[in-house]
Amino acid sequence: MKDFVEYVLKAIVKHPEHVVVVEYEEDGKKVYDISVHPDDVGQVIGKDGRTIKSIKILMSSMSDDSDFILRVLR
Amino acid sequence: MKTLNYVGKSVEEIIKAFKEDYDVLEGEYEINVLDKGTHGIFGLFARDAVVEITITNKYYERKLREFLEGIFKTFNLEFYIEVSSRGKTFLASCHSEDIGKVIGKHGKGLGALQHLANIYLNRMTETKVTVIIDAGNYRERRREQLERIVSAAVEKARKVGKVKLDPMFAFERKIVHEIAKKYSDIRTYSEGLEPYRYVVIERKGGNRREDRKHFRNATTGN
Repeated sequence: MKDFVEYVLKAIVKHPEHVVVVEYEEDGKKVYDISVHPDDVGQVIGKDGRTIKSIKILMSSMSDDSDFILRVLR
Repeated sequence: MKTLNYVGKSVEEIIKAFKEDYDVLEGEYEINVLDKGTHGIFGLFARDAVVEITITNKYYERKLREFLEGIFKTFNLEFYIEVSSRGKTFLASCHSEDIGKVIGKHGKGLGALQHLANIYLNRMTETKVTVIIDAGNYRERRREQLERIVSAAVEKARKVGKVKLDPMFAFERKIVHEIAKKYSDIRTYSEGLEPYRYVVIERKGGNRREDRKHFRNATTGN
């Protein structure tokens, strides 16, 4: 899952070398902290959060589990 | 799709530099030599070569295919992807045994994949391109389904005047408007806010005052 997030993010940002994804558990829930270059934050979230939501949709259909959090750090 | 201008000592050197800048394969670019350049005599009268290089759709087709293949690999699915293009529209057909997983409910996964692929490809091109993703002929079947929905709604609108359809994606609403065009006594327009925007199918010549208002909407929204 982490590989997938990294793969997609690197493909859509201007600065792929700044993409870092950290996976951990918080209160029994999977959390993915995403940090990207400041210029790319808007791109990653997308208009009305559409891009980050798209990533989440694909992740949930991949794992049959939508109980996780994607967090874009600023 | 994308045209670049290179200046260098010779045509060969320019092409070498270009290939280092972009990972293009043979047949994915076109070269137009504007000036061959000359070495001159003992460095005198030397002139640089100027070459115009155009990256063709073939390159972007391959890039899009590779991007999608990377995603399917993380899904651990057996897959086969075909990409074709016409002008600024790229169509990727994905085939897999377990394609339902990717398509998702109401084609949500397909919409998500299409959105990401659009961003990916548009990052590389200068002009706006459109990516359409189809999986196991989902789009074709969906179109047939939409045609049935529209024809049923048209029947109903002829009786009651106005029918609101369920919310749809923008590209599906576009298809609906397109399909409805063949009914000359019917007009369509969209109402509501994303992601709940829906199409209204209406009989022409109903309530006159409202009609005019709606007609304006019909020309702007899709």
